Amino acid sequence: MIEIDNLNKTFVKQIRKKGFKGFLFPEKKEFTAVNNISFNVKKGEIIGFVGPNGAGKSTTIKMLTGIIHPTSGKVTVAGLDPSKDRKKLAYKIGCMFGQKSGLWMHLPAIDTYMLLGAMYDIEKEELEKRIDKLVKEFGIEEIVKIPVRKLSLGQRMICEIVAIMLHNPEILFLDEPTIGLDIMVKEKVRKAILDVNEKFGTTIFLTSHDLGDIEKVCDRIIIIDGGRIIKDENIEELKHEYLSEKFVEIIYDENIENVEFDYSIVSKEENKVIIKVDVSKIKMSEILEKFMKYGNIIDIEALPLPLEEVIYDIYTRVEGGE
Amino acid sequence: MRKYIEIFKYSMKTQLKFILDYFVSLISFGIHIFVFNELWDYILKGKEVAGYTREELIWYIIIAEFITYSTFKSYKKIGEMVKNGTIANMLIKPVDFINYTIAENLSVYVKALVNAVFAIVLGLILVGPIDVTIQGIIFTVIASIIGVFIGILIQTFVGLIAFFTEENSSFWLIIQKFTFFLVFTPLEFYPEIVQKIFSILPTTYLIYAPARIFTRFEIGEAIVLLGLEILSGLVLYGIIRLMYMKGVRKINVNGG
Repeated sequence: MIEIDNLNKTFVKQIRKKGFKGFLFPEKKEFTAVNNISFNVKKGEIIGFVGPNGAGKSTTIKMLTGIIHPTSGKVTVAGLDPSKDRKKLAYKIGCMFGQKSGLWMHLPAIDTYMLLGAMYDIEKEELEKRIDKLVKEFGIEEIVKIPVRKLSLGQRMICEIVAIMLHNPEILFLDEPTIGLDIMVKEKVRKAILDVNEKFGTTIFLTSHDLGDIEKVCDRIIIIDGGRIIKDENIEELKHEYLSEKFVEIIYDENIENVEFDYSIVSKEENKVIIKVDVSKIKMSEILEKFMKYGNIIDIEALPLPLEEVIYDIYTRVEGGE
Repeated sequence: MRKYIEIFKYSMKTQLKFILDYFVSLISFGIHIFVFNELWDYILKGKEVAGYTREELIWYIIIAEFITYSTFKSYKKIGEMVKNGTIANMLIKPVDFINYTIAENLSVYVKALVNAVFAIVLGLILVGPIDVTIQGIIFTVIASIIGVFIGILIQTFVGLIAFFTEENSSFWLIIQKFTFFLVFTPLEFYPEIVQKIFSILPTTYLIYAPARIFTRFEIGEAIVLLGLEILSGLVLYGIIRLMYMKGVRKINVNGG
C-alpha cells in the first residue's frame, strides 16, 4: 500500500548574517529533513509514525500525500507516485491535519459532505447513501445539521473523520488528530479510527505526540529522529524488548522523609514513591527490603513501562550514540 | 464542472449569512457618492471638464464605485491559507485551487446585484437620469459582469503573492490607490503619460470600462473597451496560473 525506498528531502534555508551585506546576500544552507528512509506499509495496517519535533514526520507525510516533492528516492502510495499523480492519488487517500479543519465552519457538516461528494465526483444518490451510512456509523445524526462553528471540538473531529471517509479512501493520513482534545474526546476519536480500520479495512498512517494514541490504536510503530528511522517494530514486540524495565510503585501508610534512594526516581509524593528498575538486574525482594526501612508499606506494584517512557529511552540512547 | 457549480452554490449559502453586512456596506457606498457629488458640484460650479457634465461625472463615479464595492476581500483568506498551511487541505483534494477560488468568489455577483440596484436608485435621486440608450445599458451590464470577474482575479492575484512574500496586504493597498484615482476621476482627466501607464493595468478596465460605456456610450469605443477588458482578464488569469504553479513548487506547508 505504501512503499518508500531511500527517500530524501532537503530544504535550502537562507541564513541572514549581520550587516547590510549579510542582509542582501544571505548564506544558503542545505538542511536535510528526511534522510534516506525506507519502509513498507501493508493494506489494513495501522502505523504510528512518531518522533520529536523537527524529526521529519510532517515532511514525510507531505511527500506521501504529494504536497511536497522528494529530493530523491522512490515513493509509491496506493500504486501511484504522489509527486506525479497527486490528483489521481487524492481519490484514494483521506487526510486530516489535526490543527487545520477541512469543514466549512459556517455551514452544517452535511453541507460540507455534499460539497466534498461533488469534489470527489460521487453521484448524488450514492453520496446520500454513504453519508447516511457513515453518519449512523459514527452516531452524529443529531449534529450534522448544526453549523460546524457551533459544535464542540470533539464533535467537530468526528465530523472531520466522516468527511475524509466519504470517498472510501484506501489510506488515511492522520497528522495529530487528537491534538488539543481532552481525554474523553481523545478516546472517541481513537475508537473512531479503530472502527474505520475494522469496518472498512482502511490503512491508517498516524502521527501523534500523544503516545496514548499510538499505544491504543496502532499495530506498528515507526520512530523517526533527525530525519532517520531509528525503530520500525510491532508495538507489542517493542514493549516486550523493554519488558524487564518496570515502574515500581511503593505506597506507605504515612509520609516518608529523609530517604535516600539508589534507584532512578520517577516521582515522589508524601507517602508514595515510583522508581524505574530493570527487574532482570534487581530482584523485587531486594527492592522491598531496601524500602521497608522507610516505613510501613501498604501496597507495592510493578507496572510495565508506558510507551512514552520506552520512546524516551530510545531517543536518549540515539542521542547518546547507541 | 459539477464540483465548481456545487462550490459556487455553497459559497452563496455562506454569503447569504452575511446579508446584514451587505446592507451596512451600502451605507458607506451612499456616503462616498454623496461626498463626491458635493465635491464635484463645488469644483465644477455648473461647468464641464474633459467633456463630462457634473451629472455624467457623478454617474461615472456611481458605476465605478459599484464595481469596487462588488468584491470580497478574498486576498486575505487566500494569503492566510498559504501562510498557515491550510492550502494543504485543497492540495490533497481532486480540485484545482484556482478554479475553486474563482468558483467560490462568483457568489460576489449577488452582492453586485444588490449594489447595482442601490447605485441606480441613488443616482436617480442625487442627479437624475442622463442620456443613455438600451444598447449602452446592455454594454454596461456586460462590461460590469466582466469587471466584477476581473475583481475576483485581482483578489486571487494578490492572495497568491503570499507564496513569495511575507505580507501581501501592502500590494492590495497599492491596487486600492490605483482604483481610487480612477473611481474619483475618469482616465481622460490625467496627462497622456499617466493614461498610458493606466492603460496596461487590469484595474483600469474593471472600473473605467463599465463607467465610461455608461456615461459616454459610443459603439466603436465600447467594443474596444470590452475587448481590452477581456484581454486584461485573460492576461491576469495567465499570470495567476503561473504564480500558482511556481508557488506550489516552493510550498512549505506548516504543521507537525
